[in-house]
Formats: sequence, C-alpha cells, structure tokens
Amino acid sequence: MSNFFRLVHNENIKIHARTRTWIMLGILLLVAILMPVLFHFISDGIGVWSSMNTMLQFWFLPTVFSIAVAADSVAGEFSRGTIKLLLIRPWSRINILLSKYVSILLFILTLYALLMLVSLGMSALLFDTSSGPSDILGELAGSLADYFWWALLYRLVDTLMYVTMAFMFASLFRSNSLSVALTIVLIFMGSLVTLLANPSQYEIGRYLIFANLNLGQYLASDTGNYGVTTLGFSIAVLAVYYVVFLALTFWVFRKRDVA
Amino acid sequence: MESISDKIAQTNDDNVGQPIVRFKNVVKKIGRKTIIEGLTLDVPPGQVFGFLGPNGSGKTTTIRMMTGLMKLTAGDIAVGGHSIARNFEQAITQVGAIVENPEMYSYLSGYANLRQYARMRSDVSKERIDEVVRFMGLQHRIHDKVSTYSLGMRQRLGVAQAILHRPKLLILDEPTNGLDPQGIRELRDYLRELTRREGTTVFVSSHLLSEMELMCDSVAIIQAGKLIDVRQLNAESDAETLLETIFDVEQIEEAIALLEGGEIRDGRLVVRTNREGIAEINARLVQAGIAVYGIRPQKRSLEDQFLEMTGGGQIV
Repeated sequence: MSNFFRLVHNENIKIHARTRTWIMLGILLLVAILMPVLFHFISDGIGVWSSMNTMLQFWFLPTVFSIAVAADSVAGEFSRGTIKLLLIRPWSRINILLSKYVSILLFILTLYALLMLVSLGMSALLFDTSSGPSDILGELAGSLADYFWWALLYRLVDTLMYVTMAFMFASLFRSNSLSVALTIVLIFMGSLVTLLANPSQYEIGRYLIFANLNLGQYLASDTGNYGVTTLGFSIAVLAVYYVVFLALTFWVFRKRDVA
Repeated sequence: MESISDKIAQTNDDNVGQPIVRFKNVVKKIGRKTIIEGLTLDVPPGQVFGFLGPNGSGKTTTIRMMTGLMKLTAGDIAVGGHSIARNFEQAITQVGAIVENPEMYSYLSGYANLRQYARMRSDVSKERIDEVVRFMGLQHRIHDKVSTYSLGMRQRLGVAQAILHRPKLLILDEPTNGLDPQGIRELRDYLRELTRREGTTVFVSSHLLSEMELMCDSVAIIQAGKLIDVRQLNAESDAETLLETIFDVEQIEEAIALLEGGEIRDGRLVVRTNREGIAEINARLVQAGIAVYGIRPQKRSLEDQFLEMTGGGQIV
C-alpha cells in the first residue's frame, strides 16, 4: 500500500494549482503588509503587540478562504465529476476524505502563518518592540504578547470549527455554493441565536455551539460572555460538536452512492 | 503459464480459465425502482467483452457497482476472486475504468492528472507514465492544461489513466461517445492491442450495436435491467457460412432460369451461397451475357439479431 501522505500531497497540488488560491494568498499578503503601515500612521506610540492584537481582527480572512477551499475540496469533486476517477483507486473512502481534511488543516495553518508572520515582521520594523503603554488587554493575560498568542490560538479553534462545518456540509449536500453559504450564514447568525436563547437565561443556550465559540471570551472573564460557562465547559462542548461533525461527514461520504 | 488467448483459440469454449468478473444475482434498487434485476454473468478473461443494451437499461449502474461507486442491494460482484463489497481494495486494484465521461482536473495538465493517479498506487513508475502517454499518442499535448483538450483527447487521457497500472480488467463505459470515426477505429485497434499484448480483459458498454460487433469477442445483452442473452461473435467464420447475397442484374428472370435457384426481392436477385459460390455465380451470369451491376452479401448483423431478440422498437 502506498503512503497516505501521497494522497495528502495530491490534495495539496489540487489546492495550489488553482489561481483562486494565489489570489487569496495575495490578499492576505497585502493585508499583512499594509495594515501595520496604516496603524503606524493613524496611532501614536503603540507597540508591536498592540499592532498584532489589532491584526487579529482579520481572522475572518483566513477563515472565509479556508471555508471556500474546504467546501470545494469535496463538493467540487462531485460537481466536476472527478470524484468517480478518484474513488476507483485502491484506497478506502475514509482515507481519501481524511487526506482532503488533512490538506485543509495544512491550508488553514499556511494562511494564518502568512498573515501573522508577515504582519509580525512589519510591526517589528515599524513599532517599538519593548511593548507600548500597557492597556487593558495586557493586564488580562499578563502581557500584550501573551494576550496575542492566546487570542490567536482561540481564533484558530474558531476557524477549525467553521471549516469543519463547511467540510461537513460539502459531504452532505455535495454543493459548493450551498456549503459556503450555509457556513457564512451560521457565522452571522451566531450572535442572533445566542441573543434569543441567551445562555444566562436559558439552560439550553449554553450548549449551543455559538455560545462556546470565540474562546477569547475567557480572556476577559472566567465565566465567559454570559457568566454561566467556563473555558473547560466550552472546550468540552466544542469537542462534542467537532466529533459529531466529523463522524457525520465521514459516515455519509462512505455510504453514499456516487452517480 | 499458458497464455489466455491461446487457450481460447484452441478450445473456443465459454468456460475456459477463471472468470475475471463474476456477477452473482446482482440486484440494485433505487428507492422503489429496480434498476438491475438478478444479474448473473461470468466474464471470461482475455477478451473484449461487450455489455450491450439500450439507454436506460442499467449499463452504467452495473459499471458503477463493479467499480464500487454504488452499493449492491443484493448479490455480489467479484473481480479476480475478490468481492467488490467486502474486499474493495483488493478487487479494485486490478481494475482500470472510465465511468461515463472521463472527467479530469481541467486546471491541471494531462501529465499532472496522470501523476495524481500514479501517486495513489505503488506500482506506477515515471517511465510507465511516459510509455502510456506515447501509446495513447498524447506526447505533444500532455503538458498542456486539460481545459484546452478536445473531447477526443480527453477520451484518450481517460484511457491513459485507466491503463496506467496495467489492470487485469479495463472497464470502459460508452467509450466511443464523442469520438470521430477515426478515433473510434483507433480505440478499437488499441483495445485489441491491449488484450493481445498484456492479456487485459476489456469490459465495454455501449448502445451502439454496429460498433460492438466490430470491437468485441463476446457480448452480453441487457434490457430493462435483465440479462437477455450472451453470445460469441466470430468474424472469421464468414468464408464458410451461407449468406444471402443480393445480385443487382438487368434480366432477373433469365438469371433465375440460368442458376436454377434464387428469388426476387425488391426487384433484385437474392441467392443463398458461400464465398466461393458468389464468384462462381458472377462468372456464370457474365458468361451468359447478363450484366451484373452490383453484388452485396447480406451479413446478418448483430443489430438485426438484437432487434429480433428484443422485439425491436426498444433500441435507441
């Protein structure tokens, strides 16, 4: 049996051979270079880590890009008809889908690395590395740098959850546009849903995925946005959602008749 | 080991060698509709085996089940002794296939596409890819993007990915779709070449009877999800068999009197005779001063036989 990583390599090629992917990388590169320059002109005496904490606001860019790539990775094979020639190889469907998922995880990391490393480099050039005047963020996590690394990690968790959701929709519905649209709608609906089923009023609310996403809420308060959850609780809830999403994704992909 | 094609030539028997594909009472239902109804069939090795039937008779569904793309409702399909349902990886490793149109990654080059499929196996070297590219006559365009290929070239690339790993069984679903006469002829030639050189069994589906007749050693005929006949096609025995032959002559009555046989059909003389006989009759007619404008042996084509069997009308 040949190596599983050759499957991942195949998937990476399919992602990186597309012009689309290079446009996404180009946009991220531009944002990573220009934003610190903009901060430099509009704000006085901020430090590297203040700049980086502001850069985190752009977490939606790698997220949306990865959602598009994840949905296309599965649904695109169906709409192009290439799924047939892909599945008639001596590999189980589980392995084929897993290789796609691994390649998407690598893609998420690539996008975040590009955005954060380049903007960190730019910020280091433009701003005082010895941290600017400490503000409220810095006090929450010990230092502004600590705050940044934790917030970045939590944003990665959010991205992972949304991308896994898009991957699931693509396996369920085999439609690229539907999967992307549904995921984006859910991102926007999150705050609305938690407003209606407010976890501080309704017990059920705290088990909704939306109440537990954005783990960064625990940087500001140990009991989160609603005062009824903890970091451990949210991680547990997200883990359950994550496992259910992936189980559904693989189960449907494995048993589906391919026409 | 004795070559498979030799064996077939010697015995001309259906059941020589282990069948490469065994369908055992295969049933496929989609919703309440039965697409395939109890298909039992053995495909002998080393042949070009035709799977013939009108559109909508279940050919593509059968091929999807053979390649594991669709699950069987009941029964089993074994390829080289391995069940496609229970031992998918062992079964499929012996198979190369095109299911419907050969859709490839159009944003990659033909070569990059082949590399994709080569990476999914451990037994395809770079040399083998180059060999297949040359065999399919794609060497001049192989590094261009597939989006720039004509339909004929995509078909060839489709065959290339299917034979890359020297499969024992090559499955082609309506391979002549979209090919021009030249392309169809080439396809026929290289399928022959494959069975002869590598002992590959070719399982080819089509609704085009005349093409199957030229391409296949045997055909299975399927209609409305049921197997209705399996038969061997023998192109070589023509010399011996009696054929109806049409003679287009001026003086039909005289000709009949002269030959003491034959009949008139649509104003033409029809005689039952073999190859030798045709030449002899022609000579006698000409000697008797009867002008012969045309001679046409009436081969009873597969199409005629098929229409007879299915009661006509059903063929698209």
